[in-house]
Amino acid sequence: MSLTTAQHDILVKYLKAVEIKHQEPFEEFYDHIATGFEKSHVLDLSTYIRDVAQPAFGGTKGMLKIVNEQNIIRKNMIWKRAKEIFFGLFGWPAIGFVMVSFMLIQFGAQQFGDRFIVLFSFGIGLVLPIFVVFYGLIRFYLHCKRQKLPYTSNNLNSWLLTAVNLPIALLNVGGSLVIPIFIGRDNFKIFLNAYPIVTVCLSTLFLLFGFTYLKLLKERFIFKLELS
Amino acid sequence: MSSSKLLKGSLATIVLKLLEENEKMYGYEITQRVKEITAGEFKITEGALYPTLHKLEAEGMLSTETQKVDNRIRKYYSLTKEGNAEAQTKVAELEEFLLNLHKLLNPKLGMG
Repeated sequence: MSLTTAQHDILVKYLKAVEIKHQEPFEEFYDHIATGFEKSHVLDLSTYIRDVAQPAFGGTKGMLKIVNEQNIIRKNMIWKRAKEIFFGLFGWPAIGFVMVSFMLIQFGAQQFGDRFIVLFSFGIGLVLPIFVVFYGLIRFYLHCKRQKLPYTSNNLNSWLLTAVNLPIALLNVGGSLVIPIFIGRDNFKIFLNAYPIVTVCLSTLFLLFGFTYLKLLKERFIFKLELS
Repeated sequence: MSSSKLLKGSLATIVLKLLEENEKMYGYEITQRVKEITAGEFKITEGALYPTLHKLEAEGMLSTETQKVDNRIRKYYSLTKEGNAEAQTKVAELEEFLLNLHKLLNPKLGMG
C-alpha cells in the first residue's frame, strides 16, 4: 500500500522542515515513517508523525543527530578508502605504475620543461577529479529535478566534493601562506631550479592523487548510479 | 522494568543475530521483529537503531542494497562475511555473560 499524494506531501513537508536535505537519510526516514504509518491503526499521518514517529526518533534533535553521525561515518569511510587506494600504490605490483609515472614525468620534464609537466600533472591529477565530481553532482541534480524528487543532493557526493578539493586547498595554503611567510617565493623558485627532482616528485604525487580520486569516484559512483 | 539501558549495550548483537537469521532486513522491520519476539517487552527506538546500523555498515559488518517498494526506496541491510563471523562471536559472548550474570543473581543455581 502506498501513501496517497496528500500523505506523501505531508511527509515530505515534515522531513524538509526537520532539514533532512540529502538523499540517503531522506529516503531511509521516509520509508521508515511511511511503513510504520501504513502498518499502524492511526488514520491521520500528521498525528502518527507527532505521536509515534517523532518521539521514537528522539524528536527533531534525535533525527538530526542520526544524520550527523551518519555524516561522520561516511566521511571516515571515504577517507579510509582513499588512504587504502593511495598507500596501496606503493605495494606490489602497483609500485610499477608509480615508477612508470615517475619516469614519464621525468622524461616529460626534460622534453617539455618543468612548467609544462607541473601544469599537465596538476590538470590530470587534481583538476580532472573535480570535473568528474561536478559531472556527478550535476547529473544527480538534473535526475532529481526531472523525477521531481524532494532532494537535489546526496551526502556521498558532498563528501566526495570535499575530498577532491582538499589537495588544491592545501596547495593554496602552501603557496599563499607557508611558502611566502616561512621560505619566501624567490627562495622557493631558486630551490626548485636547483633541485628539479622535487618538481618531478611533486608532479608524480599529483598523478597519484588523481589516480586515487578517480578510482575512489569510480567505486562510489557505482553506488550512486544504482540508486538513480 | 525499563530495559532500555540494558538493551542499548546489546543492540549491535541483537541486530547481527536477527540478520543472521534473516537474509536481509530494513530498519522498521528490525524494530518490529524485536517487539514481536519479546512480545513487546523490548522496544528498540529508531534513535538507537539507525546509528547502530550505520556504524556496523561502516565497520564492514553489514552491506546495504536499495529496492523500490510501494513507490519508495527501501534500504535493506544484510550481513557480510565478516558480519556473519562477528554475529556468532558476539552472540556467544553475550550468552556467556548472561550465564555468569544468572549465576551471580542466583548463586544457588550456580553452585548446583
